[in-house]
Amino acid sequence: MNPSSLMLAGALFVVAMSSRAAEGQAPWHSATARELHKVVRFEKPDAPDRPARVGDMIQGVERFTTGSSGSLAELEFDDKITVARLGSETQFSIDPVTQRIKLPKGLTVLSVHNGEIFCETCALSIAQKSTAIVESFDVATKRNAPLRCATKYILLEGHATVSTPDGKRHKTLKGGQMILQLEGDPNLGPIQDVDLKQVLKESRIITGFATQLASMPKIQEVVQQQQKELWQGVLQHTGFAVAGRGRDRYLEPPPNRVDWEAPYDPDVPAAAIIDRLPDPCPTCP
Amino acid sequence: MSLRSAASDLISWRVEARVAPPRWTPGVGSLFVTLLLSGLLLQLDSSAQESTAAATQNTPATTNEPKGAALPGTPGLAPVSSDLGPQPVLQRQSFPRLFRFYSDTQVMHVSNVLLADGELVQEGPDALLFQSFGASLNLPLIRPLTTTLFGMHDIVRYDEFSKFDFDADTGGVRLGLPVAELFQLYGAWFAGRDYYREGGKEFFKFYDTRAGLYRQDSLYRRTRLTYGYQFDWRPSSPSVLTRMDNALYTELDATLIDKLTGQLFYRARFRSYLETDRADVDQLIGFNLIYAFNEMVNLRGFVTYAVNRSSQSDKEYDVFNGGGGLNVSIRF
Repeated sequence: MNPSSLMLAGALFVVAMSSRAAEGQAPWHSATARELHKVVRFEKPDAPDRPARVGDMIQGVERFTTGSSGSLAELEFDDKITVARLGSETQFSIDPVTQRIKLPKGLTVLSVHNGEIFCETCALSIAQKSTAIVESFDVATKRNAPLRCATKYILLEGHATVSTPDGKRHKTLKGGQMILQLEGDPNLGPIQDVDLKQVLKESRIITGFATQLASMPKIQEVVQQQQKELWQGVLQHTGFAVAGRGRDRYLEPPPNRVDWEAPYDPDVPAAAIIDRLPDPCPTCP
Repeated sequence: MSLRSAASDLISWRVEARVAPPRWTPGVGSLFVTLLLSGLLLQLDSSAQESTAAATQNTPATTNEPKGAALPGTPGLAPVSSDLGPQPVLQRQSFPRLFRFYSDTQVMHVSNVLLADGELVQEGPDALLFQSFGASLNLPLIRPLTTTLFGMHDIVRYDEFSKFDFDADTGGVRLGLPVAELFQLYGAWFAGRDYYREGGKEFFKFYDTRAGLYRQDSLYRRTRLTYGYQFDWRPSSPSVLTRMDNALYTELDATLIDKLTGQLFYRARFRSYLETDRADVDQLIGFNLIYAFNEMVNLRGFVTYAVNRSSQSDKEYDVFNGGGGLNVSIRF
């Protein structure tokens, strides 16, 4: 191979690597802790675990784990824009070979601005260029059956593609949608719309940090669109809600819709309108 | 004196007004204060727990505590939250579902059907069937204002006092407006008429202009506290019943199991009768247990206890209601 061929090959390699970096593959080598709350541990295979410190970096074999309720961490990736937030009881690392986020257990928010980030859980492979909540948890599917791992994925803005770990099935989500997937299920679960306004308002992983997510304006656009569609009647509450972490569903308290004095008034609390005392009572003196 | 004869005699019996200041019932008043304080303490306790936990578990590496940074456009008063809040599931419709029909059937026991003071007229119980049919139409006119037209027909049937069975028709418009995530403002104008089943004679007519506001906060997982204020101005016929109401209310909702919800509520209401010198203070406490089969059908049991104190002592009463109801609601 002559020198000019070598130079050409070298140039092509550099271009290829630059292109890979531009696509967002390269910056996910490492993530650095920039905000910590309560119990956050830094784990390294060849060293004893220790409390994490701001500035600690994971870039392969290391991982961050968080403690019980209230423990939170915010990590910044190499590009200084992409952010991962960790909820309590979470294990978070970056695969040193594939640069994919690994979330075997717990809760995270991934917020990407340039490029595409990949995340692997027990039940889903995720590719996203936006902001999403990802949760891995164990769930009992049948009585006396062993627990199964499951993943909940809530996209807050933009678009994302989720697929089964074997890559045979995939679906695309848009902001405001959620999917729940059990490990081992060959088919992907149904995509559901969720009320993002409520999710954001009551989630410490969103509100519990000193700085807002940089993508919050985009998330607010999705919230506004949902609220508009709810107001128009195109979107409707089913009455069901998934209770925080995990997949337990419950029926939200229905408003007490009938009373004597107030007309049908579903938006007014029961206590405001309930009145079982007709006045005037036709039987009363 | 039987209840029936008491009612017949007293319908035309003019009792001389005995003006007395409204009396406050310490027992129920204490309950109100307890409810409000409980809600407040629940929130404070939760915050305190977090602070304490943070203080005890903090390590040198974890010195920053959550600031509760609010979302753009949301109040600084962030609700008590977990890592991940509840995810209400929405359903996308192929076309807007603006109409709703509903039916509500309730059967109840009323301990004091005459709303008697127990002195001039003795208290007595009866059973009551209360059936409502209603329809509403949501009109998305100016965002984010919600506008709803509604109409309803009620059928009220007594057991022992069946000659007083009556029907009622009510219709009007309701408005709702969220205010900067802090409160929900609401207003309504509606009119109603009540008439006896036998002969159809109208015995009551009113126009109600209503304004109110409330706020809801999540306390714990599946638990919600609501509190608010409501004003009503009700010109009525007969005009002696024209009145102005100011009410404060609070409600605690808790989902006990997946489809079973408990609602504990309290209301204090001040009623001024504008055509007479009558002024009442009534307090009501109640509990609903609601089982929802799905988003369209729910079954409930309820108990309420109310105390009314009036400047006219013959208008004072205590009453206990208990019963069950079935609600069916369909949107299309």
